[in-house]
Amino acid sequence: MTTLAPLRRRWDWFNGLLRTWAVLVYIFLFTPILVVVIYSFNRGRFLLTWDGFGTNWYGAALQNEGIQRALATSVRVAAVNAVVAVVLGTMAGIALARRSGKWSRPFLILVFLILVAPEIVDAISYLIFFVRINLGWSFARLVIGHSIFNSAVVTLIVLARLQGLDESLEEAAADLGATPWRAFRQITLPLMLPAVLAGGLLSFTFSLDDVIISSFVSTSGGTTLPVYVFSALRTGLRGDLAAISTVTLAATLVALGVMVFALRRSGESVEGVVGTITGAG
Amino acid sequence: MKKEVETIRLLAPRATANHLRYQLTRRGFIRVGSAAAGGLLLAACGDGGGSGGTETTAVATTAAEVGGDLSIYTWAEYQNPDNTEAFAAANGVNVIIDIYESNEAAIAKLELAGASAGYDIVVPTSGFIKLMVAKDLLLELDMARLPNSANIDPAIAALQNADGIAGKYSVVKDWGSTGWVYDASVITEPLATWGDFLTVAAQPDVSGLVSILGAPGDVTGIVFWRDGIDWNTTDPADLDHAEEVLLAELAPHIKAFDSYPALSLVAGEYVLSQAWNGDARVAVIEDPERYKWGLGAPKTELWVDTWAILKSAANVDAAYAWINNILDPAVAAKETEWHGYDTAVMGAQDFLPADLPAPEIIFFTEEEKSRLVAGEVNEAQDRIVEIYNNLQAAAGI
Amino acid sequence: MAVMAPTARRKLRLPRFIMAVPSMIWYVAFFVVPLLVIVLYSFGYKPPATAASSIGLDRLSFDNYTNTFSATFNQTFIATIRIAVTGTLLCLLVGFPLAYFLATRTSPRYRGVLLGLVIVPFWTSFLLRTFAWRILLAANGPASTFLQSIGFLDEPLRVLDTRGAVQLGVLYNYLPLMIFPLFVALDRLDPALREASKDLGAGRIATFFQVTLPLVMPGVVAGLLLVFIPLAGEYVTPAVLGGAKGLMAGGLVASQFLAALNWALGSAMAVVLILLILVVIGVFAAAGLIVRTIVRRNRKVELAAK
Repeated sequence: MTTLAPLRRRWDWFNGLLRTWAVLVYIFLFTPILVVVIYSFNRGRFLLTWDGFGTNWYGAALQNEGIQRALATSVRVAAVNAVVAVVLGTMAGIALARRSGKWSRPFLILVFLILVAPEIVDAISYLIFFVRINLGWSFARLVIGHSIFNSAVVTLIVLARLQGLDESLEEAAADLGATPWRAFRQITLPLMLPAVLAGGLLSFTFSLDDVIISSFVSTSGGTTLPVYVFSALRTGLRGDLAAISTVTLAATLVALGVMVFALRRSGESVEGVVGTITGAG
Repeated sequence: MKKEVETIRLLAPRATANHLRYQLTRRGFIRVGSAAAGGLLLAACGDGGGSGGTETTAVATTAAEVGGDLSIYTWAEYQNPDNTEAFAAANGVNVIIDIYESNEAAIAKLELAGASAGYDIVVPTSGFIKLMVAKDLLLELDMARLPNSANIDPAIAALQNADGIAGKYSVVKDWGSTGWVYDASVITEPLATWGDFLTVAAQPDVSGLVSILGAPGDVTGIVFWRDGIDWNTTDPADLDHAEEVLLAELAPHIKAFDSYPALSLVAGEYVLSQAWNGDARVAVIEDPERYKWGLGAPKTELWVDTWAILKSAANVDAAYAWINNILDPAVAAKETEWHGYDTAVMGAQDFLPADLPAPEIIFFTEEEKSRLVAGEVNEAQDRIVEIYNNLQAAAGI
Repeated sequence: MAVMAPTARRKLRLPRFIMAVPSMIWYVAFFVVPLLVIVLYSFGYKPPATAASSIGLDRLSFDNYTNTFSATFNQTFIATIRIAVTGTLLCLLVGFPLAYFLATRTSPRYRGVLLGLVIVPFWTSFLLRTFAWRILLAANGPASTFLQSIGFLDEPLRVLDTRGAVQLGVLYNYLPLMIFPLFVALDRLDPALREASKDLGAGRIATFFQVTLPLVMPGVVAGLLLVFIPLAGEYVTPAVLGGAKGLMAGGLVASQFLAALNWALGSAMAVVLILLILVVIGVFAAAGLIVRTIVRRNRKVELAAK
């Protein structure tokens, strides 16, 4: 596949325009992040008004029981939910891709409905249902509540990825003597891995940042960090939440860096993963 | 004999083959998989490590008679952290606080979440207690377990128990009223009445910068107090009148429905805010020259907030211990210092610092007290909430 | 010694959809049933505030639906669709040039990093980064002080709690969701096709509309859906930045349950919201099909996709 050298010279001003636009968009995307990081060093009692530079809120954040507990809950819920979503979604995606039949259409409609339903509708219906079946354990409620949407997402991602893969690879393996399970394990699964990973990542992210469903179904003492922030938002945000946010941002940047490094080493491009995230890869 | 090596043969383009070769080897799989898992784990550990993830307060307790978690569902900025810490340390209890903006919201959440809300204590305004009792949400209090309840000013306790029900399920937390707080650099003439509130709200440099409380009764109250109507009325004509006035004279100027406007006022978001006195005081203390408080006139609200224990409370012992502790005069004084409301605990005033800022916003004069009218929750409640929702929709245009 | 006996192609003898069964159970139990309960509630009524329960089901009717379409509330639904559609289009307009830039004007070495940078903001809590706009744009805040000091403004910045602030917040939080599918679609586009088009004499604009755009259309549609659907049901971002003006249909539903104790009306509004989203998608899909048929008829050159 050869590419012609792009004729850049003629389009200098257009290039310049695109580049300027890109820079502006990046500034737009990062300004609030910068504000959060800077204001995490705001010494004042409330986040809104700047009152001098200080790192007191970092200490306060680490000592604040409520925040620490909420953060721990958030991460645990996100992790378990990611596992559930990936397991359910991958299996469903494989079934849709390789075993489709009359059942596929109703199932896909259901998946679509799950993706279309607004979070507030989900939140209310889950809560009413949980109360009715007497499920009071906040952790379980959160995992169930998050994993439904996330597993639907994973299903579609895996489906898209598998549809892009040639089924004949697996058939060739079968012809050459591999059992279906072995063909799956040594061919399908590894090729599907980027989609599964992308799905897991997305599920983790969505769960970590979820506000509406979490605020409805969680119970006191079992809330997640976004719910904690949400109630603080209505009264007066304090610097400790900005501090925690900066810390988690740094942590996830590190994790992201590790992942990118690992992916690069394994030959998978970042774009490949991105492509599978959006289902078009 | 040489071990049979299982092989799989594929026909594929060279580039793909190279790519596949890496992915398909076990090593490749493990590398990618573990990197991903490692990344996730790093994120999880990095975030969740924190302070060691302790679930209970790590303070040595002397007589840990209580212990466990205590979950309090209350209003914002309503609890002095010093008192909370002291109680937690003395009793080995981990105190969790969650907030709401209006009684309606609290009741809604408690009913929606049923017994699983997880709260032990709630802080309703006295008039709403009978609604909560009807929904079987509250525990009838055993006053023998609250010896400090004798400290409560009987006059306020009488107001709290006006309907005969609230007194069995709650004790007085504090009491206060509703008025306005404004930016005097923009609004140069002081406001005397609720009528002034509505007129000034319509002024060009004020319109669009007005906030009103997130509590339905307080909002319809504005019209009733201004027009001399008993704000506990159930007459549909009165309620319709209130709706008309609000939609015509207030809706176009509202910027936000905010139960805690002081901070945003100071940040310059609002110029005129309806507020409860303790919250308004936060703004006044910031800059007494610039932010002025006014108690509603000719009539305004008298509300009494209470401590109540939920029927579904997991830690009833801690709840009783908490409430009893808060009713101690020294502790009550620190509460007042923090949230700016009168706790009605007799003898607390002796413990207040001499230089307490803006005490006139906490403790009312006799003249001011004569303006206060206690609120009832009655059959008009549904209509009031409806009016409030309509106002919200109208203000959102 | 390799034995390669031809084996018959064997497939597992379980029902075809066995792998999807866990998902099915999960969805039916925890999604379909709760949703059906809501639909049931939507036909109920609200007992008085002093009653023990907030939902009465002994009398079923369509009253709540009539109420939802009443003058008070349909304003909010209309505003919601307006904000959602405008927000989606804004994301498209702002995101497309960036995606185009990333796909065609960056070297592959940095492309991954630049893409990653687009998603990094998502790694902060969305509430905090939305609130950051409140800090930034506050009347006494940094932006306001700066603009006043350079004489651009005579009075404090009054952009918060307006419809403009809502659109800003919405654009900010949903932009990355638009950029990714656009990028992927643009990235797969063979530059040779564009070159060929230019070699054949088409101007830049003609190339864009007749070559590039049709080929990336699936990506555009994916981006539009990815943004519009959650946006239409969203209410937190508008509430944080828009104050009273930030009331969206989702917020109405929430307030019926969280403040008004009117589960029946809230349920009806919830159902209407879902239907509304589906209808809008349907309308735009139909419009898109019509436009495409018209364009197809008039187009002179049709290039096959890769």
